[in-house]
Amino acid sequence: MMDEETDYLISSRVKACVAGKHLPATFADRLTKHLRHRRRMFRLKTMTVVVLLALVALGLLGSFSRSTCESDDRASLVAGNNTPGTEKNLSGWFFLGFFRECLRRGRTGKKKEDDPID
Amino acid sequence: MEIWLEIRKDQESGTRRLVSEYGDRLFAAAVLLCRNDDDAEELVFRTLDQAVRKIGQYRPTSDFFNWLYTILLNFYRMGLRKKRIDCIALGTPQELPEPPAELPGESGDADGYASLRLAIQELNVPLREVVTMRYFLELSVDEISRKLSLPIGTVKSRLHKARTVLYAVLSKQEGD
Repeated sequence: MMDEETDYLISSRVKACVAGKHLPATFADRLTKHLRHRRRMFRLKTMTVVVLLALVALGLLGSFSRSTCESDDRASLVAGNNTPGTEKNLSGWFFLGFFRECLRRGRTGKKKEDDPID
Repeated sequence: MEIWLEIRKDQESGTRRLVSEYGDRLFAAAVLLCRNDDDAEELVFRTLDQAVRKIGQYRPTSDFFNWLYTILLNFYRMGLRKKRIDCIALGTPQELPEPPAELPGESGDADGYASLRLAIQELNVPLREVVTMRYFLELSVDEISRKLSLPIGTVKSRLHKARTVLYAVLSKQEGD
């Protein structure tokens, strides 16, 4: 038999062989549910990363601003005019200043009030 | 609206349309490659999941079903590689599972194609790949060689071997 005729015969039989094969009726629901779940997980992971980055950024901001504020505070204490760089403090500290203070306290083992005033 | 545009616009409705228009044909191709329907269904699931997620990579210049089939073939080969690695890790012989016996009431000898289906499933993987592409997808030898990155001579040689086996099965069937 010619190759082309054989190919034609085999092709028609192979197609007939799998003609009755169908995906289950629930397949589309299963796939869409899976895709929805994946999208939700992606959004959750993205938000987590954004929040972590924001915390890191605030932390860095707090560290830089804190050092500036400290020198201003000392200067104002020495001068006795009690006008610290309040604005800088608020923008720099935010709530991370509290954590930084806790860490500092933990390292030195004493409170801030115990530091001698020069 | 073209299906890839619909998937980009509304993923859920695009996915449902993808399953209804291409699901069964993809499943039939997967059944020819895999040795059982459960594996074929899982393969199609992974293929369509990937297709929807990577729809941005589809170029409208190529046939959409061929693009889906390429994804399916890649996942199929990845699955085979993983099975081989698992077999090596466990120290078990690298044998593929036997195709399941026909269940009563299933389309066994009633439709006369059970022996052909079994013959295809018993072919080795390289032959099964060319059989699916040539006789089910009706691709030319050139297209098969491009898709599988094989020389044309190799594709022809594999087709010849597969043809010999399948023709013998069909002749026996006709004789019976």
